[in-house]
Amino acid sequence: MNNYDVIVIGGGPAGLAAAIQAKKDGAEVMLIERENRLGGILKQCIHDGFGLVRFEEKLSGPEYAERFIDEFNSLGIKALTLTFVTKIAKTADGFEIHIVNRKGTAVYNCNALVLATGCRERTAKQVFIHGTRPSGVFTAGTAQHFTNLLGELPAKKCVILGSGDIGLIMARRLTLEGCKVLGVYEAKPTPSGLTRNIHQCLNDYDIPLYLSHTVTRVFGDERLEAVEISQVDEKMRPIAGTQKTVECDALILSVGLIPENELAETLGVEMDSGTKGPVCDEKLMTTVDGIFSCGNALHVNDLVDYVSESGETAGAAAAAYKKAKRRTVRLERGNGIMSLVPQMLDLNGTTEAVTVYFRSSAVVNNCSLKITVDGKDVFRKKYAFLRPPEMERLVIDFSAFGLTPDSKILFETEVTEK
Amino acid sequence: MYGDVCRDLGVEFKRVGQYVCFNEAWAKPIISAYVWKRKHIDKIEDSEIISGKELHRREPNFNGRFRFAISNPSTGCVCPYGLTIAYAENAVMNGAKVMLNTAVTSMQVENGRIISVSTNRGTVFPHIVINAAGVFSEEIAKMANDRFFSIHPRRGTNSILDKKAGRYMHSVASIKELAASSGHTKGGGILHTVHDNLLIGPDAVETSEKENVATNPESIEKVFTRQKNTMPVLSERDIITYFTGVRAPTFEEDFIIEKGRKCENIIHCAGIQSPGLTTAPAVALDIEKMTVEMLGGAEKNPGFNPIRKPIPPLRNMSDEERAAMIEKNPDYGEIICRCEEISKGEILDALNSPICVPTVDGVKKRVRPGMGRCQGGFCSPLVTKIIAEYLDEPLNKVRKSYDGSVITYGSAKKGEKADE
Repeated sequence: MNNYDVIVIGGGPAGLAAAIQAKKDGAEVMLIERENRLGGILKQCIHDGFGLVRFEEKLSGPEYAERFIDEFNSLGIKALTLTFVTKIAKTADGFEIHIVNRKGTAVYNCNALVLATGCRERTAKQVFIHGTRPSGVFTAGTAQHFTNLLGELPAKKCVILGSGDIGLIMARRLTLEGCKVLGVYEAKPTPSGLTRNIHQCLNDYDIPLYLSHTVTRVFGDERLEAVEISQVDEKMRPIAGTQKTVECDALILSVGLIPENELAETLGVEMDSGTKGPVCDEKLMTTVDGIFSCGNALHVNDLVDYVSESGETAGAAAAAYKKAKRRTVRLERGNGIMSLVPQMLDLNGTTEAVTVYFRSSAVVNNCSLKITVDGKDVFRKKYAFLRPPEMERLVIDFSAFGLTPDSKILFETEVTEK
Repeated sequence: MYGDVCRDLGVEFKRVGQYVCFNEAWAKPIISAYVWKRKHIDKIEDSEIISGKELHRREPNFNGRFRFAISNPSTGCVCPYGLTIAYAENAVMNGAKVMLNTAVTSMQVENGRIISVSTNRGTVFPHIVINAAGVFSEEIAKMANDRFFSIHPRRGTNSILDKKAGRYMHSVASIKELAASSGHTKGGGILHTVHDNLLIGPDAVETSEKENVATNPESIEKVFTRQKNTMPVLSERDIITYFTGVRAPTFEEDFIIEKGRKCENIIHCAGIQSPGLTTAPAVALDIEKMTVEMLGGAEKNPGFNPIRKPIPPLRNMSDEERAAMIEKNPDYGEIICRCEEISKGEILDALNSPICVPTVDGVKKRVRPGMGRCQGGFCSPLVTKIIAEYLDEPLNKVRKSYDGSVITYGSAKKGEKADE
């Protein structure tokens, strides 16, 4: 059979949750995964801390994934693994998915499409590191793949650039494997990862964290021999004269994640400059009718629990999807908001309990999130602090605000006067 | 000529067209005379002057202030290392021997004749030496007691932009600034590559270090500042990689394609710089002629086969063609590099090619895994594993490129301790 109600692309936590939810809601579902096993990046995340919100348990990545994979299998959902989507075309009544795998090529049709394609890591050149081109420069996820999936040490003495969560996790992981981690360097004046990871991965292992420092150059013609570290100013520009050379055989980069939306873009899905993911409504439908987005393709999450949640939202909506005219209004980011999901509401849908995720663009204490509609305050929530690395989630009833497609809905943060 | 060469060697070649853009309307009569000469005397018949408006119609993202441009529709573009590898493989298919990782250390010269050439891997006794050693061509000439030129190395840095930026323009473009002297080269340009990326650069910086290919932030800054004049939508944010090479010009800034002056069995092919790649097939014919003369005649090899079958690029095929390939070899259906859509079958083909270079970079240059926007983040562990399996060696023996460029250090878990 080549016709499905819902096709989900990506077999990580978002895609699994989406497929399970869509199936539970009665849809015929198929999931397409390019790797040979389901689970996505969780397969290599062997540390614990997954599932605290959802299961109130500390699970490892593979354990968290297994719960979903078991449910997926028990529901009898079809999955194509080691299968790559080469092209998606819009048709009169849905989408045509072209795939390639070891059996050949095939075309599948679906009514609704869920893109759960995850994210990729920013590379050394994207943060403008210069110098030679030796081996030994890895993104944290690549280093994690070598260490945890292939059982091979990518470093003996390394420097980590960026205090993103994977970088912190790898600092601890490599230390446990006998590698000397000389330090974690972060260009920003505040850490990029979760506070709990700063404590559990660095402080507990006496690994120093150097804020407002970055790697500006690498040395070595064959294997990496050293890196040049510079202090940076408040605009993250290197300060001349502060360079020092640190000898090491590996540089591990944890300098940001970028949602993968190349497929979405070929379909004309509008992208958001804040999240780097698609613009979505409260059901996580993109600007193209019938295409849904979830997980790290939608926006970079710090907790897998929220990835699964967005998968379920998208899966349920995809299962229920029927062609209908939307009456949309945009949610706009104002002062202090770095990213916001969803970016729009469908006023023809249900807006009583909309799950909203946002990140603050700076570290602020004693503040509140303020929503105004046409300049009038309609919602306010107090926070003791907001930090960019920690995504906030709340549920808002928009139905009480008297919204029309012409409403100007603005999200802002405001520091509360003492 | 290029069309034939690329067809025979199975190398992608696209005539994308070139624009040389001008800001100054007053220069139009002079440049028109130059184009007339190109058209009628140099016989580049499709060369023409187009208006700023026409330029803007053809390349809407170019700076709207350009007053006119020279258009050369037949200008083509190839993948430079792809072409080089194809030539080398074709040579090997026809009986040539390629010795990699082999450095010439000295020559035994008697009475103006090279008797032997010593290398780190042994001594060879050639009839003729062809000196195509780039920045080191003067050292080779010196070993032959025939050094009548000197090389003055010049660095150049190029940036490669994401395929998304490839949609901004579809040709080769450069800007000609008449006010300021632009130095030794055209000062770089913007090029839509055969793989649909954009290539920006290169700059030109004199250097004394022949092998220093480290990049510097100033080069990127300079090139982007300049090229944004041509196309304001260019952004450093679209960069996926950058690299530096060293050109090998002579002091006279001219190619040296001639027989030795004091050595009777050397042919120099030195001082080659832009447009070196363009002229290479023609230069090769000159060298062939000199070689035959020097040998006192030679017979044509009747079995010579100029046709090289390329590794099939599956990403460009229709579903049906792909399916047929996969039926014969299922490895063609297993995608390893998701950015460039490269299958395991293509990677194995690269390893089984006439000149096997079983390194991550060797495979990358042949079939492109790791050339995309994630720069090997996802596929490098997989490619490393495929190479290890091909070599039947542990993973920690696989290299990125040079001898010491191992990727991993083995496993602590298997009792193989990482040494201090």
